[in-house]
Amino acid sequence: MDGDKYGYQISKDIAAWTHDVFQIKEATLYAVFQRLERRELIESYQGEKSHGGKRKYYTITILGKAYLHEAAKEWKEAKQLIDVFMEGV
Amino acid sequence: MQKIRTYVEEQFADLPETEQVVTLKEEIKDSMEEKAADFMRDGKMEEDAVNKAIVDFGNLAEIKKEFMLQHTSPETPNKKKKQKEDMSTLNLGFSICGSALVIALLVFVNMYYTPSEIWFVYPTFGILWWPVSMTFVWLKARKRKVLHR
Repeated sequence: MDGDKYGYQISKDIAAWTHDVFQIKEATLYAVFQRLERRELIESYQGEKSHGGKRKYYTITILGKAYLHEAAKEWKEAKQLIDVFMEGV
Repeated sequence: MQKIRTYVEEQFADLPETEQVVTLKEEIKDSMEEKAADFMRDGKMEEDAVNKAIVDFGNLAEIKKEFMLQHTSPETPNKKKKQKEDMSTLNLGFSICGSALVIALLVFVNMYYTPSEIWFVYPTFGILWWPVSMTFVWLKARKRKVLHR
């Protein structure tokens, strides 16, 4: 998950990590980027020229890291809670 | 590959050609082209690959919606909100000054013509409803502003 990446690469990586179980639509992904950028959780910059065009790379901000940390904590708590509920099923 | 360019241009035709829009369109086009190139590497014919890349990319309206939230709305609704909030503060100030003037006039008339009988308090109670109601409007506007932050 490390290193700055461009949009299409991120979508390919997500598919690869999840063994093609979760294939996010690029349109959804770019919409998410817009939203995260608006909230200043990620930043973008123009990368080196490659394949004939300048690519836009995305990187997480300090604020984004802090938010990710918080969100991960909340998610773990929620997951534990759901695990407790699911024990009886 | 020209089809991808045309398609993206068509989809974004209703947005103004600002620098951000151009950058966004380029990013989408590049991404679609790379996707199509990947499909072609897997053995698809160019036309097939381009069509699949466009369909698989998903609905561009989603990106447009987020984009417009980011680049247009921070100006318009904010301005509107500010205007409303400014009005409530102004209204409160006006009501306080206005009622103070009217009450001062009542006090003067009362003291000048009938100093033996204090009657100005009765209309004063009525007049005070004005600034009181404006205070509540103002407080409500402030609360809304805090919630929206």
